Amino acid sequence: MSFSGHEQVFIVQNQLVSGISDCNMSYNTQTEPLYIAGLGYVDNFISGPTEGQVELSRYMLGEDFIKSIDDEDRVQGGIIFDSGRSVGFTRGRLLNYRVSCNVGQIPEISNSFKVYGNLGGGVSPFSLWSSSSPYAADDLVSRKHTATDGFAEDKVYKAKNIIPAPSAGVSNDAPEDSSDWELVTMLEAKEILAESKKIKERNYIIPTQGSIDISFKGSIYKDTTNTLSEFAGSNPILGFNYSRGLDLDSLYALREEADSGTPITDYEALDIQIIYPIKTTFDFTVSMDNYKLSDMRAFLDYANWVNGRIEQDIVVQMKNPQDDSVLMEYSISKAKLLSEGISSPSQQESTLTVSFEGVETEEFSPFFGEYRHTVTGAIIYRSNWLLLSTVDPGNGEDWRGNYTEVYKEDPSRYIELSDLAEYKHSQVEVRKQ
Amino acid sequence: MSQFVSFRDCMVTIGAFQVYATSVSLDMQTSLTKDVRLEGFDGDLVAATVNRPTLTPTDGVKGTLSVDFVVSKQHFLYDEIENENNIASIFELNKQTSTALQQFGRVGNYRFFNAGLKSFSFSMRPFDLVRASAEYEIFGSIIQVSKELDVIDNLNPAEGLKSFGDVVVDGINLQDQSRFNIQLLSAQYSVRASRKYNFSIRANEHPVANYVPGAIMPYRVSLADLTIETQITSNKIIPAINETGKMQHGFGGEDFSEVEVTLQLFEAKDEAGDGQSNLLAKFGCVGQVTQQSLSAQGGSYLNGNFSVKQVIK
Repeated sequence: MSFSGHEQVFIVQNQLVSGISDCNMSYNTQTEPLYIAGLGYVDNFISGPTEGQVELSRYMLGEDFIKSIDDEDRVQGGIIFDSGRSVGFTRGRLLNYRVSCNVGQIPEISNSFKVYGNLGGGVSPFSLWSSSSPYAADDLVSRKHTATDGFAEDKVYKAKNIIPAPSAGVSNDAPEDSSDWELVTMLEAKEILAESKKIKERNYIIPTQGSIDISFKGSIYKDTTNTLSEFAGSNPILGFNYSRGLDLDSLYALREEADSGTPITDYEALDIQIIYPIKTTFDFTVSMDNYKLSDMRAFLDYANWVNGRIEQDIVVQMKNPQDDSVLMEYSISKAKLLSEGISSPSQQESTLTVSFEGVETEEFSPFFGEYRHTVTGAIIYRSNWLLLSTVDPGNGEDWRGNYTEVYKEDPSRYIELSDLAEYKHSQVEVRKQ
Repeated sequence: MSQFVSFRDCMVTIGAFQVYATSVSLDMQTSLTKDVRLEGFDGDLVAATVNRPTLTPTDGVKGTLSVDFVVSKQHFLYDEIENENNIASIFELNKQTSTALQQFGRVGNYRFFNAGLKSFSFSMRPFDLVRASAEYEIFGSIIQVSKELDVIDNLNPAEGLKSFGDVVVDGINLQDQSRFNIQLLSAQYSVRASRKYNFSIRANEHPVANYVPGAIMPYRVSLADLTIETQITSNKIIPAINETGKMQHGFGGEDFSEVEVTLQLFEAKDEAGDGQSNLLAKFGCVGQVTQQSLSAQGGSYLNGNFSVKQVIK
């Protein structure tokens, strides 16, 4: 018997994702053949990392929590079928966020995730249990487990009651050793999720064309001259596409002897970094009425870039049609004009297509990390210099104050700055605080 | 039937053991040099005369065998009792390294004689087999023989993903996250031997040289130099070391004058099915940091590269 996919649910960060029209999950393996002189072909051997992809297409049914997933957040999720089967993924990163909106259609969102952890039938879509986290009743967590055949067979547990966070220095008992948790099947987990927010109780707010505001805020001078906003009402926007995508690079290292007891299946990327800049593109289709196109030669003169058309801030707000509150906002700062074009077929409206590209860089790029003063909380950055209240007494003692390093990947890991050898002889000057 | 020997029929052996070569090259050359000398005097020209130029040998036939290969248990026998490599098969790389030449070997349907190991190296990195290279000096001529085929039932090469690399200083593992926190991206281990060859004039003048391959042979071989070098690519280099190899006191004071790098090669496949691949060999290098560098390029990381050198002989 086969199952049709009418009742599957998709979960991201322990939340049901609504409005999904299509979901694709896959991974690719990399091997290459080994040829030996005198033997010929021997076998295929692993030649690269195994990484997965998840593609989601859905309708915008109100506020979208996936938009709030940060660039460096680890994402766990997956799909649960009505048969009780599931496909989960761990250590995913949100790679792309795309919105497509056209007159007469419900806005559509598509996302893609890159999976650096595990992806498969025995991998739980639910977040891993943490010994230091509090849990509410009916919260679902997963525990990693490997079956005798070597494949993942994670366990899912439901909190039977409220589990408070442990006091400092103490850890909560693992679900399998605690009476506060109950082992549940994937199908039961799916029903618990569905019960926690029943479909009829879910509040869907579908933006309409009238509730979508697009504004072209002009150049760095914030002047709307020569933008589409200058001709408000004259050039109705028929549709737009928004896309924001990351370029990620993963780093793999040799294992240590200390890892010899861990299964090779636990081997993952040591580090994943974003290759900046992050590119965002907007393209609009406009029913052209009163708009003067730029001329392409104007692009050659940087002086024209700040005159509105070529470089401008763009904001798209999708509002609740009932109360005009902003549901979603998509914006690009200093978006650069990529192209303009008109199409003017006979007996049809002339349309204008305009596309922009914006780039985001790391806020304090190229600094590696930040240091937080343990008393004042002030953040300082590595490539500047420490401002110290005293001068080196010259007695060999550490006299520079007490700062800690905050890792971007894992804020719970702290290292005393005084333990970082490279700072002991740092020059002392004023630095940004 | 083709007159060419295909790659799959081109077995490479050194001594009695097959090398699982992914590529091989063998080149031989004579030492013929131009011989021009004053021969007489021409009275008509009132000038000295020279002989008709000829090519004259100054040494025996020499060659180089370079082979890239994957390592497997057929090459390395790990002695678990002594906790050291018992590299009995092909490579003699420990302190008891023999200067004796391998008596014979073959590349496809050509046989060579008298090979001395010049260098051996391997590199390990994630998602690749442990790839090794060796270079031999070869003396004497090579002969054509019939090709030989071998059947091996189990080739389980060493793999970087399963293998381990550790760096220890003064008993402290530098990979300890609370200490130095070094992360190894790749490691390259190499051994280089330098031999001195002495030729006996009398023995090599014997007419047997015209009939026996390899007749012009070194009379005595001695090992002049044996050095191990391990090159590590990682997230770090060793900062603030002074000329003796110790870290300056203000920077933590670790004693880097003796760095111990251990590379453990494990088989790719877990044949026993016990969840752990077999250890093939353990290679150690205990020495000093002799060279280090930093490199970075767009879209990547700052990589440190340092070499630890151990002098054995």
